[in-house]
Amino acid sequence: MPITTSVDSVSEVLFRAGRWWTEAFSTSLLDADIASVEGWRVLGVLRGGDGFTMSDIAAAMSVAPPTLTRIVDKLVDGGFVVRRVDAMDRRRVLVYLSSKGKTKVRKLARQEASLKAALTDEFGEDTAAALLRTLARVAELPVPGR
Amino acid sequence: MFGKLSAGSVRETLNVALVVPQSGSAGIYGPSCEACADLAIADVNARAGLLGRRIRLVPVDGSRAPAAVAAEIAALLELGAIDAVTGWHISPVRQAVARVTANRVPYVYGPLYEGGERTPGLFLTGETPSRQLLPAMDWMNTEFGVDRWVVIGNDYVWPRETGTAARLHAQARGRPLVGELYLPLGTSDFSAAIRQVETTGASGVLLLLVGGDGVEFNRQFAASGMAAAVPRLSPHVEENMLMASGSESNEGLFASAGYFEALNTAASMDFAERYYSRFGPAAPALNSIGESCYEALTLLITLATRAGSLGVPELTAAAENLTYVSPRGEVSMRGNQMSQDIYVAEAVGMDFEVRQRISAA
Repeated sequence: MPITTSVDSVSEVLFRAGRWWTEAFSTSLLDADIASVEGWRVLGVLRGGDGFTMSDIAAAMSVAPPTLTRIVDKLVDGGFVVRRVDAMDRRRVLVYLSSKGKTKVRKLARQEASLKAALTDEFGEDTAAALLRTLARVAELPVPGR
Repeated sequence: MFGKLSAGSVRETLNVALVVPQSGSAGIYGPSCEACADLAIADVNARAGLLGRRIRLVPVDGSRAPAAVAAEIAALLELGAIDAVTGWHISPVRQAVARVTANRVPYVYGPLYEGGERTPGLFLTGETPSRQLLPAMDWMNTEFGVDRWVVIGNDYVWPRETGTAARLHAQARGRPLVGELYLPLGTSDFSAAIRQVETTGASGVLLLLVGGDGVEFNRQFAASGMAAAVPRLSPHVEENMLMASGSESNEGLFASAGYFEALNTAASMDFAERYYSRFGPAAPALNSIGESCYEALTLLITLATRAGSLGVPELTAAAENLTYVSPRGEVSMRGNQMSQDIYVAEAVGMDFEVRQRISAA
């Protein structure tokens, strides 16, 4: 018999919710071109269109800069993002989506829309929206005890 | 997958296979290759086209094994789906593709390469060691006293033959190489290579590593603390690699090539203006490798226009005494090989500064 998640176990609730999201996000999104969730997250950060510095992206994704370098290297090898020297400050590199990367972002947008639809179907529009808003705040809370 | 491409006899477009890397070590060059190729055909297509037909580029992933790329080109030819081949890809891919295109369709190869190619119908716009790397070694000796070179390259025909040219040149100058090391494409740990630089007491590194491999070497070399003391010279390091390596890895890094974004000649600035007005400021950085795809297509267009044909004998005749102005300046054909001005540049932060012209067209 499966062990259900008790809401008293905060760690399990949040851990399993995170894992559900990762699995739902990965299914039919990961492909031979971009085989990691992190690669897709970078594309998601860049979709606004303007270039971002590596430190902007690292902060937005809360990953360590050396980890981000590896992820971006892979995206550069695949031709999905390009680096440009910032014309305002030539010591800085900005990362942009390439035309191939922009095509990939459309796939990301479709996947996100279908996940949002799944939440709305299950919980109703208002609850699903409230859930996302609440979780967004959770992610920004200070870590207790740190 | 070839369903969209109708046969040559009824096609309205003139189809050119564009073989550029879409992944792997050389994938870093892909977006700029594609953008430069697109720019090269834009003007022709806006007017009457080439030989009365609009040019259409057929992308072919050049990062795969040479036999796989050649098989795709052969299949496209069998279907009558392509009229010519061009692009940037490594020499083993060129050798495999050339066996398929020889005497059938024109093939214009963009990259710098080891020299010596004689396949009929194959034209080359790239720099060769005798005019690119060897004069740059001499310049580095004069300017910085570099007299003990070690070669660090990938293990395939271009780095090995270029390394051989460097070895013979260094011997002839009485300053023999102190080492040669060739590593597989896709190498990520360069500690053995860096140890070799240290133990041989080399005063310069000839860097013949492609794309991502070169980037990774540069990062590790700088982390070892040797970047300032032991200058690196490469015919292959370009603007995308400078940005990927980061400023802290670029001290003491020199490159020789026929084109740099920082060239600042009238021809190169006109090219950059057309490029950025077409693709915007977030376009892939201009560099010698991407630009070589523009060169290759421009040569194909120029030869075919002059010949009034895409026939291999007609194009070969049209190459005789051909001179024109490209983003690299005035270029001319010698046999199947383009001759051009070549420069040496020094990386300063994430930009190149052109130091000297070392070969004249």
